[in-house]
Amino acid sequence: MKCAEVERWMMEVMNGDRDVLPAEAREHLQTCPSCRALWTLHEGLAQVPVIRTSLPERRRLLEDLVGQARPQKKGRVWWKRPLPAWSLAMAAGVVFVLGWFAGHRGRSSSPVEPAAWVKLYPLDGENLRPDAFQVVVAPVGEELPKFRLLVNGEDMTELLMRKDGYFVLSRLPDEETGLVEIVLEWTWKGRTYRMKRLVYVGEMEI
Amino acid sequence: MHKPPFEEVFMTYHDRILNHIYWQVGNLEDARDLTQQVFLQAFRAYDRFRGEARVSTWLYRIATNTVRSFFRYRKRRRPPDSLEALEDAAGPVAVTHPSETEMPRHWLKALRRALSELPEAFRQTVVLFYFEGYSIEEIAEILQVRPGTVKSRLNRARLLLRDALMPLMGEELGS
Repeated sequence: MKCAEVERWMMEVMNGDRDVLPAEAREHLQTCPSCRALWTLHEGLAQVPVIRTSLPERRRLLEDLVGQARPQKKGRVWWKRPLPAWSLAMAAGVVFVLGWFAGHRGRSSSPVEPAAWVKLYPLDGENLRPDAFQVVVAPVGEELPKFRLLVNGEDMTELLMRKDGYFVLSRLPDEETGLVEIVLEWTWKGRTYRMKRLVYVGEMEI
Repeated sequence: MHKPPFEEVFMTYHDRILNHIYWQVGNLEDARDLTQQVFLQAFRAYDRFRGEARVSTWLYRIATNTVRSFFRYRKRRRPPDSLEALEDAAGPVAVTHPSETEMPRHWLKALRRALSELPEAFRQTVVLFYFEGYSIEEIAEILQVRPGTVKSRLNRARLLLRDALMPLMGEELGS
């Protein structure tokens, strides 16, 4: 029996067009490593584990997403109103929050790894536009660590402006659209941390 | 056509899209970011979604565009990551990571590498069929091709994967 014929039968079973392999094909598999490998592959692929997120995690992601997509709008267009310091961070294009927290299990004074988050808020209420895009580095804590902000590999730290206690970058280099990589690196207590986010800037054709 | 609330869409399809993207880009951290970007795009456009296609078809189209955008970005930004670097970058996340399951790690690693070398259309089809459990007909609708094309892509992809993984499977078959 030729391998090509057995392969065809196997493909039919794998695709659900045939229930079982004919006996002669099964015999062929006993002696042909190449055909047996095809069958093993099919069985292996069917057992590949899937990634599952927990229900609370999915809820959190959804809340985060809705928060990013729908900035507050009341009265005048919200981004043209004077904003209090706290809301600047909420309204900005990207918010990096540096924070370090003591364990949450009692008042441990031992240093814990800093946590960091990225939150995205489009300035126009729709898509993140390269000319309406802000990166705000918002320190949370008593002391600001030394940090660097890289956008698509380009160090933008020098271009950050201090505004209401935050560091703000309001325009992307070269007004890039598509996926943009934003990296925040900071050093805290002698250790360097790095977080990266990919964000889609501009309107995707759907 | 019934248009479900966006929350239902998100809760139903989040993990499928995450898996779909993970097996295309090979990095869980990037896959999570990209999945969030897919749903962000979907959320913003959901009012305009008229229901001509199934929600799943529509979401996978956005996911496909996002993954393509990712590959353009990666080509522009840096050389392809080594598999080791990709795995290290996964980081602690609230998910069941494939490498934390009983599937032998070396097998998953080899499979990821072999999948990454498949043409995009083949890889997408394999991921939808084997990892997301869609039927041939559903895949045809999602990818907007004929069922015969889906089968043909699957068949060719299996042969390519078999050839790529043969050395590894040969060892295990022989033992």
